[in-house]
Amino acid sequence: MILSLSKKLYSELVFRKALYWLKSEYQWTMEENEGEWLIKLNCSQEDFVNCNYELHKLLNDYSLREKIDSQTDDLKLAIIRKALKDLSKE
Amino acid sequence: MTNYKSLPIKFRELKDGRTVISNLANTYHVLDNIQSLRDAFELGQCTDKNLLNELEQKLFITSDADFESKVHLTTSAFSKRINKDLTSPRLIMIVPTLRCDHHCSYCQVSRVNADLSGFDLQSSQIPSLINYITKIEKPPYKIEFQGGEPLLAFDFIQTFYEQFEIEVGKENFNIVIATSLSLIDESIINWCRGKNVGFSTSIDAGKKAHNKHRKLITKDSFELVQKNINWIHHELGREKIGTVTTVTRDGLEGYDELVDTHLALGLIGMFVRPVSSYGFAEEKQAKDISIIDFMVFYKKLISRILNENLSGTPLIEHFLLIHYKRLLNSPSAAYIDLMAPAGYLKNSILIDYTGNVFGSDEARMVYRKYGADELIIGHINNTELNLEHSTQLLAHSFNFDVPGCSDCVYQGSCGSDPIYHLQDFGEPIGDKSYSRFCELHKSIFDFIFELIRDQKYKNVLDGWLND
Ligand code: SF4
Repeated sequence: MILSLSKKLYSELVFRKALYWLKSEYQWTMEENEGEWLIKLNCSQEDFVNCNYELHKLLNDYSLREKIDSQTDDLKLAIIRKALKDLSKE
Repeated sequence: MTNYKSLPIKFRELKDGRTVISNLANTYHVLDNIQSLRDAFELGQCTDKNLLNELEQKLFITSDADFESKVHLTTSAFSKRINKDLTSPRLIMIVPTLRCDHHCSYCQVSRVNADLSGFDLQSSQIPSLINYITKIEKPPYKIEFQGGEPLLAFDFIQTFYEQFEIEVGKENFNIVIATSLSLIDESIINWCRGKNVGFSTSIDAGKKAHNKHRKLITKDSFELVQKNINWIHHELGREKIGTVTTVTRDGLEGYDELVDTHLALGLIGMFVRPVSSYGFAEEKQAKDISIIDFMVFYKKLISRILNENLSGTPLIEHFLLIHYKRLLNSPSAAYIDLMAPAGYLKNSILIDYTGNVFGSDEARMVYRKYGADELIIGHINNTELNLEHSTQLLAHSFNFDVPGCSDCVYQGSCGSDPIYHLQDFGEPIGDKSYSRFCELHKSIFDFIFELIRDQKYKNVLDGWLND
């Protein structure tokens, strides 16, 4: 079975992070065409419904993280760099 | 303050819909729901002044005017946290013998029979051992004798103690013997009087589980350990013995029996964790008990313990306490599994019966099973360390930079276990979505947020912080 999701909705990173945490019982492979991410799942109809639900929950979660992080990612890196530099001087 | 800027955060939605947030300073806050998170951090539309004040104090947001100072405070808290994990004292473990009188199903090191030869450190090696320890570590020294069964090599321990005391002074070291206690006798008790020596022993969840897995020919390991704990209490003092519990499938119903056993023995502390799959521990044992199974057991256990405390009976569960301390950035929260960078090598070292040196107990277990020579970092006859491989393991253990952990709300409190992941995934980071290590610690942190929602339970945990 194939789950297709528009590339406009989610970035590749959000997509890959969501797949990372998908339960191990769902075996998937990922492909893409011009406008969509295609997830091929080797499972029953019932598992497909559950997997679809779980994946969308994860996509939502990582999409929100991406939005929140986009405001502070540079600052986060700067803080980590400065802290590690301070530590290496000690 | 309604005009504010967000500082970097992580979040996690709990099962009850509340949302935990944390930051690089490793402070935590629980929001009522995911919408509060969106309002405060995605849309910048939070108008609840009390909430905003609290978020500002905890370094989640800042006004324009305070931006620099808040960033400075965050940087310094982050750096302090890493420094604390880098500089905690090192535990030195010594395996004087691999021989053992027990034959436990979850033995991780493939012990050998008590009458075999060739599996002991020799007393003649003690000067090299002491020389090695004093070269690599500063006082005060924390030494733990492990096995096999260390009491089978008690002469070695005595001689080591006497020579070490001369070398470093009595006030500069402390020794714990990790033992099943089955072989303790009057001469051992008498020798221990007035010395810096304590014991750590195992009590499993219920007599049935204990005797099934901790196999003695006489089938009375559980009875012996109880008798001998009482004996140590009486002769040496209550503070001289601590217990560790390994939970297997056979113990999953034993939570009340475990508490009853501890209370009947007058013990006021316990340390409970699931069986692990290191080294030779029968894999089936570890796989048989999922983290979900363990957590069902653990929640019942903790509920009983907290209610005992509320009705005036003191009893601390240290595995939970150490996780709670990590969430609070407590200064005494050093626990080798929960350190990032990992506690491997910098906070622990193990010298086995061959004189080989490893970066942790788990590393020698994995070495014994897979013969991974790169895990041997040295030998007591030579103070040079072979750190090439270990440095790489440590370099991969800063969890703010690791897939899976880099987005995790518990990243600042959790740890990194490169040896576990090396064993299960063939590389030190592993896939956290399949990792038992990750599932266990994440579940415990979630559980703490569930518990402290109830003020009376929070009060008990806060009380434990002072013990
Ligand atoms: S191991 Fe798991 S719980 Fe710990 S920081 Fe990483 S993702 Fe979070």
